[in-house]
Amino acid sequence: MSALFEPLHERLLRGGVGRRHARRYVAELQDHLDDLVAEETAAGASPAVARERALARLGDIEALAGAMTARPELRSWTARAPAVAYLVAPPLALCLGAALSLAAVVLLINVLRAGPAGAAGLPGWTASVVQTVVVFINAGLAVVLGWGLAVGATRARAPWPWPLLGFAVLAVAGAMLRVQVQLPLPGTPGEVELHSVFDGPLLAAGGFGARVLVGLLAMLAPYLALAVWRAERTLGREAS
Amino acid sequence: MAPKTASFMNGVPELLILRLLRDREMYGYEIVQAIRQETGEVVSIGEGVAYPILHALERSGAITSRRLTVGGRSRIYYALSETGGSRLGELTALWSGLTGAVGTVLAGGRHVSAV
Repeated sequence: MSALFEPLHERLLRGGVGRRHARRYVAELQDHLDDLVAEETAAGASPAVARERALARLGDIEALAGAMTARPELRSWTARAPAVAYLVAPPLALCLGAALSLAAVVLLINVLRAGPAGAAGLPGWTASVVQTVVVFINAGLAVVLGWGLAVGATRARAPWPWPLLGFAVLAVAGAMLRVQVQLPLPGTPGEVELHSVFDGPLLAAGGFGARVLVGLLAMLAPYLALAVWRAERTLGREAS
Repeated sequence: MAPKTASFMNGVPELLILRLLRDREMYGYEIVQAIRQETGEVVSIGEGVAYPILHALERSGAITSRRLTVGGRSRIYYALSETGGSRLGELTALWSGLTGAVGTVLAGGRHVSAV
């Protein structure tokens, strides 16, 4: 992207325009500018004057950005429905991720049990794999989703309250969700247990607040790092 | 003081763009120049402002786009879709009705008693 149109691109994203539309608009404006310069040059203007006239004809950033941001159908869905994007979708994604992970565990166990060595019991490594998945669901899934939210919000230039609220919702949902898997033994079926913070033992454990805080900090770190990186990049561009 | 024409122009750029694209594929700069030339400079849309209109029309399915390289220059070309053809017909009928009705009034047209 030409440096000339980067401020417009930023303005569009901050105005809620979808990334695809913003990027394409800027590309088309560059093509259009080239055509205007060619027109002015053909009319006898010097290259510098042709470019100056072409830029004037194209219009200022506010007019160009305003024409796009005035079109609600061109806004990104996160700009059109931020509450859904940042408050509803993340905990739903957490539930879906946990469900898919557990489904994969159950499928793995069933495949192993149906295998030639199944009658003798599950291989020794099964417990490690299952435990890793359980730890990931309980301690890592919400944080990973939060990192995805951080990247997405940064790319969309979302106003900071929304991703922060999203992190908070994810951190609470992640702290609430507790999964346990009991591997099957010969003659005994396995179990998948889902707990929440409303279960007595977890509430009494007193770790809920600490888990929320740790999760929140783990999600905030990349978001803040991306914000600093972007600010430095913008300052560097303005300085040059 | 000349009256502001912006409010009169709502919907006119879309109508003109769809009509121009009915004949052939065009890119943004071509469309802006064609509107200016074919209306005798009576109607002109901002050089950069045409693209939000084009993007919105594409999103509604009225036009399609593709990137083509012609004469060594790569540009995004727009074409009228079947949906756009129907939309053009609707807008044209609406415009004809509107201009006819306004013309009747301006010409001193029919008076209807208020009820």
